[in-house]
Amino acid sequence: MQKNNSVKIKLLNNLILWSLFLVLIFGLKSNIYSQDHLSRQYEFANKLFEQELFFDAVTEYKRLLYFDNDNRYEYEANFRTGSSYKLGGKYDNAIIYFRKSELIARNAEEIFNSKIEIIRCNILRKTTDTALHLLKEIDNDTRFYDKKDMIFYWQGWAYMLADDWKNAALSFYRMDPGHELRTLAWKVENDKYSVTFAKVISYILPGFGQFYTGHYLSGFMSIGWNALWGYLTINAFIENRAFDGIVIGNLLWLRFYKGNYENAEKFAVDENIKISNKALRFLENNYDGEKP
Amino acid sequence: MLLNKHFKVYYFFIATCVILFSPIFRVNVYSQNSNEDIFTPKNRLAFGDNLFCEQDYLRAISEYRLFLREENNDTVRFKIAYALNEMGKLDEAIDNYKGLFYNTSLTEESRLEFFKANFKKNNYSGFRGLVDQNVYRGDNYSTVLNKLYQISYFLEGGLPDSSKLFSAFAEDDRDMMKMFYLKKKYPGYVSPEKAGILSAIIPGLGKIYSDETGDGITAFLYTSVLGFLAYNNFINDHPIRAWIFTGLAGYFYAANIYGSIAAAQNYNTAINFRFDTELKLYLNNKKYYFPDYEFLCR
Amino acid sequence: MNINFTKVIIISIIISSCSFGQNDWNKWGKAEINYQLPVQSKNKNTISRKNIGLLILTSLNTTYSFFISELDGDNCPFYPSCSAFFIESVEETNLIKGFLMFGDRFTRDTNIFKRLPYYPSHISGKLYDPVNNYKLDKNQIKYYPRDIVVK
Repeated sequence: MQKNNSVKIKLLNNLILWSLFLVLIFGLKSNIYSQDHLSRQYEFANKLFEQELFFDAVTEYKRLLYFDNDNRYEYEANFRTGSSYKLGGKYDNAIIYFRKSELIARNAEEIFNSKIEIIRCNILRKTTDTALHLLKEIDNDTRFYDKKDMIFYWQGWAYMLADDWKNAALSFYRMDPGHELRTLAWKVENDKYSVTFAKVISYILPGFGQFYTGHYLSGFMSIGWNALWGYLTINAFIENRAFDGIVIGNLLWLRFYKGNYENAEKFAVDENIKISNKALRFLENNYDGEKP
Repeated sequence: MLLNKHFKVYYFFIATCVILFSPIFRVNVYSQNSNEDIFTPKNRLAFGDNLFCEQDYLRAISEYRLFLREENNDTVRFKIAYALNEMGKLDEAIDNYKGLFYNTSLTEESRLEFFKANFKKNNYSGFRGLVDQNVYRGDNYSTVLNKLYQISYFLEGGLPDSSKLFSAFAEDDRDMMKMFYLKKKYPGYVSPEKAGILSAIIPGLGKIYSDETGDGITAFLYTSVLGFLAYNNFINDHPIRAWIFTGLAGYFYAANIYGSIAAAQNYNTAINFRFDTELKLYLNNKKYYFPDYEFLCR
Repeated sequence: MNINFTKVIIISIIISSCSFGQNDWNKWGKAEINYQLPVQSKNKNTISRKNIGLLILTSLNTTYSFFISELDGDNCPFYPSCSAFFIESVEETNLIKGFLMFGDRFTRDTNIFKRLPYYPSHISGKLYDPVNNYKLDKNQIKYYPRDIVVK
């Protein structure tokens, strides 16, 4: 009887151990299985992202976020949704998702990455003031003291797209004095015409601001009109025809004189935009380094 | 024996614990999401609803359509039509609502939304024609439809019948309707003809009448100065110059009459625009008097 | 309920820019990047060969803009500019009506009194004053709220 009992206990013991084992195995297996679903979904979304199907990629990342109850992929999915929107040119949405990813980031590295992406979106959106403000903020942040190079690099880019090539050159110089972009920014800054000079020289000598910016025909014609109306005005005053003098001087000479320095200024600005755009086109098409 | 019993209880306890805290049970807790395939119809529906509430309508529609391949669901079909409506694809929305008219649980609602989509198409006489046809009208929401019907007169087709208009609305909306009715009845238009005649009598007066005072004074100055110059030159025997000035004065005189008529028309257009904007804003705030469906996340 | 009209417009613009600005209601793909600064396109003077009147008019306009308009500074506060308005109005109506419209436009252009609140602004920074509003055709008149930027 006693023996029988102990056998029974042993059997029971074994049974329970086995069932425990089975439960563990099955339980673990199903758990792995569920994780597998999420990771597969993540890979699927990534594949769409790599194939540049950004709209569908966003859908799948959103699906991942919706079913990811443990928030395992929360940062990655938000970050990559932001990247998809960014590459699709929807910078407002991109910033929203990068901001979300910044708020749930697990370490300083991730926070930095999200912040930099927000800055890059701002650069692309041409809200460079915001970009520069944010860069200043992370420049003062002690957590990112070892990332100064990166900060200066994007600062340079922000200045370039803000058409401030002098500061851009300075930023790149602080990162690396021999940097390619530093040379480029410096060259653009030197190539540009001085708008003030063009305007002032046209105040003194009508037409010369146009010569300075290479618009010779316009310059000569300005000289012609100003000489003609100037002569007629002065002549009228000399011949004591004050009324004629005032009318011609006001309505004609002054008008063309104003047109002259306005044109000089406009040409200088236009030429400067052309120079900037040439450099920006180079950055768009031929520059190999990291772009925003 | 006693020991044995204890053992049994003991083992039973442990086994229960193991089962309770084993992963298999945990999996069961969130099995509705993770354990099964993410792309089951049920999950598609849940995800689609989530997108719908975020107003991400295009994605929601594509989820719903995939869901409908597996199962039929009137609410989902209604939501597709509603999302199309919200995205401004009115014709597509109208077709989708039509598909829900017969033998569905949302017959009345889809009929009502059908009329709303037609209302939003800015073709108000067409909208009234549809209502009058009485083919698609539902029974439950006829009061709401009557309200839209009466309001549509404000936007196109002249003044609504006042007794019909006011009887369509309850006490609290009636004041607002009275305001719109009075605004429509006495809009404060200026008359283009009158503006033209005024400008013909005194140059620039028509412009001042249509609230373009500065332009009116300028026009008056041009015509009078040029007229004076013409007169002066005629007196001083400079006929060529005189005729040139006469021509110019006449030109500005005629141009000002023309401009006064145009200014009056522009003034009236502005009044109409303000009225329409105000009315539409009011309708939007009132949600077109529509009932709040629970499933629409409004 | 007295709705302040300016507020109405501002609110409706904000609402529309929020909900229609960057939604995903249309499928989109990869976007082209563009770093370049925007360049204001100049309106070119083309010579129209539609009929003899227009031919003369556009030739005169081209000559005028080459010798005078491009040299005497920026004097027109409107978009389209007075000469462009003239050409367009003649093109779309007839010579007489076009002349009258130009006379009216000239008066409004030289108006030194309060001008700003009567016109919406155009993206070029000028005041928007389209030809369609002056053709005396009620159906073509379009009202633009004064505090929006057209195009």
